[in-house]
Amino acid sequence: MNNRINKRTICLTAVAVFLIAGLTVGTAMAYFTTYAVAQGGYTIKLGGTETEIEEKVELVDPMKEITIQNTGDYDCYVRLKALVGDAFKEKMKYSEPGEESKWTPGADGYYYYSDILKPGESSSQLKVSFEFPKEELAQFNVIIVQECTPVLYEADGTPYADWNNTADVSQSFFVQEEGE
Amino acid sequence: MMKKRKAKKAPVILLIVAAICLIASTVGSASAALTYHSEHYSAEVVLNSIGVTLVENGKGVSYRDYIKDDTWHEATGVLLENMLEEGEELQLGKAYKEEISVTNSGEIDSYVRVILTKSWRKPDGQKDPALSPELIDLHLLPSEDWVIDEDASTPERTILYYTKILPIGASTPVLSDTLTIDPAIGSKVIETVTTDKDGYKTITYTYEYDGYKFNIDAEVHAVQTHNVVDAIKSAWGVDVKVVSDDGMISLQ
Amino acid sequence: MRMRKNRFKCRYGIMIVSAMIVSALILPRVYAAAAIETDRTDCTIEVDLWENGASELHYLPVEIDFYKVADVSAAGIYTVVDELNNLDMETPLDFADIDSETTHAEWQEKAAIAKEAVGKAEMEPTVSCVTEAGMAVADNLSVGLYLVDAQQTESELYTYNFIPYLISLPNNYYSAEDEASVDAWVYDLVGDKALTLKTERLDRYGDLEITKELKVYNETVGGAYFVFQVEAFKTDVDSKEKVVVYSNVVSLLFENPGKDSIVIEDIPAGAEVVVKEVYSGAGYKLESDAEVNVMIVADETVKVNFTNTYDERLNGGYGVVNNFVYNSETQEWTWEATEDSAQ
Repeated sequence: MNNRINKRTICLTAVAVFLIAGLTVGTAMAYFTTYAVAQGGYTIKLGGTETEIEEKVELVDPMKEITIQNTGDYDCYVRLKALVGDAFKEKMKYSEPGEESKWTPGADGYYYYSDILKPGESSSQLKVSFEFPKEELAQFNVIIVQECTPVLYEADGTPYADWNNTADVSQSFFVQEEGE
Repeated sequence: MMKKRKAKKAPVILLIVAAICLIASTVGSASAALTYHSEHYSAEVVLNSIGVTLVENGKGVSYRDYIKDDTWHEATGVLLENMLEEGEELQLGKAYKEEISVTNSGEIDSYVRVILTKSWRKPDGQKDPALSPELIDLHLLPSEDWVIDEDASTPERTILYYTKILPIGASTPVLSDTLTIDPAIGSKVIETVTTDKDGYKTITYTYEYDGYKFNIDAEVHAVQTHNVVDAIKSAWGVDVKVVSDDGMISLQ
Repeated sequence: MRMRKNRFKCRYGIMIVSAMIVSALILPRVYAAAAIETDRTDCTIEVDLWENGASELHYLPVEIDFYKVADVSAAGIYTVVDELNNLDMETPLDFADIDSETTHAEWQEKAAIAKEAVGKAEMEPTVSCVTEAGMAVADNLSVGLYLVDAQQTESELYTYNFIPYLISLPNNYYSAEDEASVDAWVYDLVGDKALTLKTERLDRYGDLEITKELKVYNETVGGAYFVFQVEAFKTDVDSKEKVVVYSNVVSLLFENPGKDSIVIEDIPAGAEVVVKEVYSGAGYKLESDAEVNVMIVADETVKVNFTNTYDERLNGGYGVVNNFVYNSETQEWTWEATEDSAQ
């Protein structure tokens, strides 16, 4: 009699324990979680910028005061040089007013402006002084050429100019105009 | 005689209780399958509110903090909103400051992870899967604290796990420092070459990616620290193990 | 092809080569050592251009006309020939006021009037001769006062003008200040008495045309701006001095592909010119030589060509020409800015 009771008891208990154990095994529990999101972005606008020369000319102690203005939409670096005939080169001198030192001569004859010109900004002045020739050469030109190039950045964020930067043509389309 | 009767009843009662418990638990387990909304134990929420804030350059952008009774204190901001100065156009190649981090804005410690997704859209709004998301260079700072799940990450989507417990009110170190759009995107041009009757050519360049928009999505997820392995498995579907006494986890 | 002319001229210096000026005429009657043999018809005038400083005249043929404008009396008084009297002239030809005080300038005036008279009368030259190797001889001349009038001649590099003057046959070279001089009539002006010519040498000029051909133009990047430096030297044929006759920069702006030119006018003929493209725009490159050497030819246009194409750079830019001109009337410099030299 005792053995049977014990066996039954054991079986029931075992089943009960098994069921309770089943509660904790394989059950998907609910946990505290939360999240937050944000997104953002910008549109890429691509295009070249434009720059213009502004100059003031003095005829007594002849010289030109030149600035370059960024009239386009993108930051750029600028450079310029003055071109004259050989008879005038020796007497031509570049200088900056006051204590400024933003224009640096390159080996190629260009003067490079150190700062980035943002849209609407103008460079500081560069003065080009020269001498009038003897009257046998009674007409002469001084030609100022200026160039701008997009601002590029090194991996560490340092900006620089690459005056030899070329286009990377991904596609080409060819159109032939009709002959007349 | 009396003892024997009592002894006979105990296993039966136990069995019945177990059965009831089993049935009751199946009801609760269905809702635990949802990984984001876990609203059990709401009676104890004041002491157990989880909260997380996505921080950009030291300022909170979006947050979601549990209050009580299924109410949340939350807001969603715009990423990169203050990246450009007023009137500034995006400059290719420029490294803009973009320091992303996470703050525990809840009332319980938590583990956090961040999912970053980058994509390009054409001017018409359509996604362009052909344009590499790697041109959107969000410079990450993986470390012992912020670990990238390389197996789950793709060029578009990166998942970073903060391996330590983030205590209440604390912030993680930044997981990124700069955002740079690769200037290669600006040098690709489509050229049209028109040849006139005399053989002279005029070239017109249009920039191939002019008008494209880049997008960065950042999601930060937080999960309780208690029972972390199961919690993360349940919430994020990821296997982790705890590798130190102070709760540091590592991906399996 | 458009052709545009560069406005500024480069007239270079006019050189006046003053030859050995014929010695001042001396009124025979003042020093009448002897009477003039008025019936002589065997006088000789020799022209020798070897001493006059214009070396090209040593070989250039020069036609010289001698017009007998006045007879001379035994006492040395000049009388205008009949053919040149009663002409409709503001100042008629007349030698009545000639005396020992007559200045060289006044003789030159007389020569000019004589030239005018000869033209009005459509007088044929009494004798004409052409120099050979810088020498010419007019012989069998009667005594009298002659207008020596040489025709303009030109070489490849210069134009020679000759100022007419009057010479007396016979001539007398006596001078009170010169003890070696002899008071005698010389009927043959030869050897050291030979005549020379008062010469004015002018540069001849030619033009230089610089043509740029731009084969490929990028209209997105912007205008193609080209600058040329032009240096011209002329070696003076007489002094052998090398002189800068032109030193300047000029430019062309393209807003389409094709050809365009600029003409620089009036560079002295014979000048050696170096034309160099010193600036090829922000995004273009030369396909031809950067430097071309030519020589200017009188009354012709010498041409130089440069060819460029697009070099795929993305830089923008252009230039400005500041043209400075000296106004000899006001003696001031003026200035004008233009986009390129063609404007």
